[in-house]
Amino acid sequence: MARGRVLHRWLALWLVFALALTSCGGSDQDGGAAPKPGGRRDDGGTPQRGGELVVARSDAIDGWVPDGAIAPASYQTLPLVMEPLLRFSDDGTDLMPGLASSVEPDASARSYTVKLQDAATFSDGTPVTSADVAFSVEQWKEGALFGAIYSPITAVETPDDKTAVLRLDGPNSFLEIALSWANAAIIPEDFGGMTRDDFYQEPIGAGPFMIESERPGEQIVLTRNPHYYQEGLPYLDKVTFNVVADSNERVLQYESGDVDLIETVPADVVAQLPSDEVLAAEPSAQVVVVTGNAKRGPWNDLEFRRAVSQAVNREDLIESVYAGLGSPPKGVIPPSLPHSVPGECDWSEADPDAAASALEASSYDSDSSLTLLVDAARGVDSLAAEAIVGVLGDIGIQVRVERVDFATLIGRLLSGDFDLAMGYYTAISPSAGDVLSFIATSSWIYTGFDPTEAVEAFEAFSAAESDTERDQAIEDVENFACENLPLVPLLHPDLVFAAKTEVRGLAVSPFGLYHVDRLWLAP
Amino acid sequence: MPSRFHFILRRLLHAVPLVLGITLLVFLLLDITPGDPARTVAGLRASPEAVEIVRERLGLHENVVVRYGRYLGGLVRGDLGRSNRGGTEVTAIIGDRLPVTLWLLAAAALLSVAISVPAATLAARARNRLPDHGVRLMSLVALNMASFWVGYMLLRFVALPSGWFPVGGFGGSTLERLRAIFLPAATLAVGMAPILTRSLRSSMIDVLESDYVSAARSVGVRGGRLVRRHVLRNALIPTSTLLASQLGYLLFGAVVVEFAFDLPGLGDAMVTATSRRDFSVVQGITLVFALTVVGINLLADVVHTVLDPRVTIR
Repeated sequence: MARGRVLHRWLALWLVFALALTSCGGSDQDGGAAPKPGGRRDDGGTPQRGGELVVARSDAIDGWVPDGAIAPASYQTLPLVMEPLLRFSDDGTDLMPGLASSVEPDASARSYTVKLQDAATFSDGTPVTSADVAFSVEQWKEGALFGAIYSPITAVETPDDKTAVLRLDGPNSFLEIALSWANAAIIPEDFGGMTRDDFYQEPIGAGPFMIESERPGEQIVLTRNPHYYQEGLPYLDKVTFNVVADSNERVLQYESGDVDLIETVPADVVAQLPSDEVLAAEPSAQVVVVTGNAKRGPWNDLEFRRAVSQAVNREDLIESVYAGLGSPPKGVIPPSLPHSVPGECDWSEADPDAAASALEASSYDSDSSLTLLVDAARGVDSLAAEAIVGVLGDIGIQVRVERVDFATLIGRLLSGDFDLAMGYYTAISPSAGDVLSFIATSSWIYTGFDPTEAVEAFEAFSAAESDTERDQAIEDVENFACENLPLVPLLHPDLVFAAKTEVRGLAVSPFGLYHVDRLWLAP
Repeated sequence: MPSRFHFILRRLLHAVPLVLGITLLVFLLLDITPGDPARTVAGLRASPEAVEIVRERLGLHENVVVRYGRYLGGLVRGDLGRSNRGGTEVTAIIGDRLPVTLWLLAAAALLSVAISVPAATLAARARNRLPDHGVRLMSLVALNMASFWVGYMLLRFVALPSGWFPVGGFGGSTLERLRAIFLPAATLAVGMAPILTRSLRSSMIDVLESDYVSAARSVGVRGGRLVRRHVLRNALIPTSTLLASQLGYLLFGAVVVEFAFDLPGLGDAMVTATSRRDFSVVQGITLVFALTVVGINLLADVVHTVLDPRVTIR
């Protein structure tokens, strides 16, 4: 199998290259919220049925076509209506049954046997069958964006109504993870008798909710699916997702009581919220990084990259800019993911003297001035960019921050029109291979750095037959990153949510997703 | 009457090349703006092949001239295309959001007039005295306040503590909408009222010094009656033209205010679509904005001819 082809099958991650709008000073830590660790609210009590929850989020979904789901909002929302075969566990470190009661690979991982839940039923009352699974797989494979990920499935056998066997073109231990993604939605065979376009205007599925109404880009209202296979779930009668792009406006709506829950609160506004209503997934499966253009100087010089890495005091950065809501990096792979193995580096160490020496030994021309691209929409990263520019200036690297919008940032990264950039990437499922695949296919997050080591590590990870082999693949790539610094990790920022105290059952995974069907409202 | 009809028709015909010019300019600007719409739609994890498929689906693989020609063809058929995100028709998005923006503009204009008429009257009648200085100082201060800051202050210090107004959204019933629109309209009015006040004050001072007002005074017309019947009616003519021209600017203020107040209007949609490189939506909303500005200016001209008999239509 061609290397590139393998990689495209495993693309799996959010990356957002971010910048930040500078404001006066860092976040206010006095009186700031102290998030509860672990991303789970330990609130006790007996779940109550009923009630309506209003959620504010920053972005809309990408529509209802599963193949088009790329935004976090899509990954959070689509499975609520069109549940996949598998779900991530509450703590986000493993998979658990979804529409499938089990997905068992054979010994060589060349096929998966899927057993559907006996009670699995679409919201129109039609039972979910293996024929629906076969039809859904066909749709996944036809997708322009994610089709390649599911293309190893060469055939789907349906020995009975509740069993489907996915035949693969080779050993593949990673596909199981992709069965939990929003892109792997289970839908009725032949779109329930509708055309494809009509179906996706208001799709039905076998998830815990069904669509009541939608104003595209503004609001989605979901109501309980009365046929949901998990008895008693969901607890809520209704959930409304409102798109509120401005983070301050989200907080104001929350304070006013119009909103019960905010998905992802930026660190610079966390202090405005009551501490007992703030919940953080930490450590998160997100890595904030500084990268550079490896196709031209000075990022193509290892000594320069060392100077940048050693100049930044991560702990100071976390305390002063991120209001303490983060942890120093353990590597380029988030430590919260299964098979994440830290390398030999201690990334939390800062050594300005060593940084200055490394800079002296580099080919960097002290008269040249560089730009650091950041996404203007991410205020806290912008502050971090300014802080980094300061410490780099202290050792003699002249950098100015250039704030651009996200689309511009990505365009310039892909075209190689940049010196340095700041951004982040996040896993979307509980696997270190998830992030590794993106690092490899993005040439170490669009630096243009030779991806050979990452590609080989990913191939080893995919073909591994034991956890030990998978751990070794991750350790190898971490050590390579430590020695060669294709990118410089800065921190794992906490993913912060806010929820009223009456919202119970909230557990935020390290990648920022949560199970809405488990939420309930205390009287 | 026929001459007025011909005047309107002629102005509308003149507006056609103007509006087309605006759409062409926006089309070209979007084309050279950094950021690939196909990559934005496909996402960062998409392979180059997948991005190309998306590019083709969006019709971005063709050159800008062909795309603009296709856009014009769609325009003639009333088809403004579909959003990159979710595939919603642009006409549906505009139809959904236009009423919110119209509510906002109307409320802002009304509030501006409601503030500026008494303020200008007070200032003009007390010219160069304390009330006049006060009005002029407040106008100056208000003119220099950024609308997003005013909006945030109103939300933080009026809406939140009082609970009288929603912090965001538009509501369903007329009453809910009036509550939802008040603070955003007030935010816009804070920027617009000073302009009207200054214009109206100046006009009123001119009128107050005119011979016919002196004549009215000499026959015993005084106070509110003098202002209402002789001063304000004449002074309002130039201000009404100014109000119409300012409504065009209000549209651009609405972009900021709708975003700040989470009002689901055209301005809010414009901001979101721009960040997503959702060209069809940006183009469609720009077209609506252009048509609105042209329409408002035309209306202002017509109203001017109605209010001021000295102005004739040719």
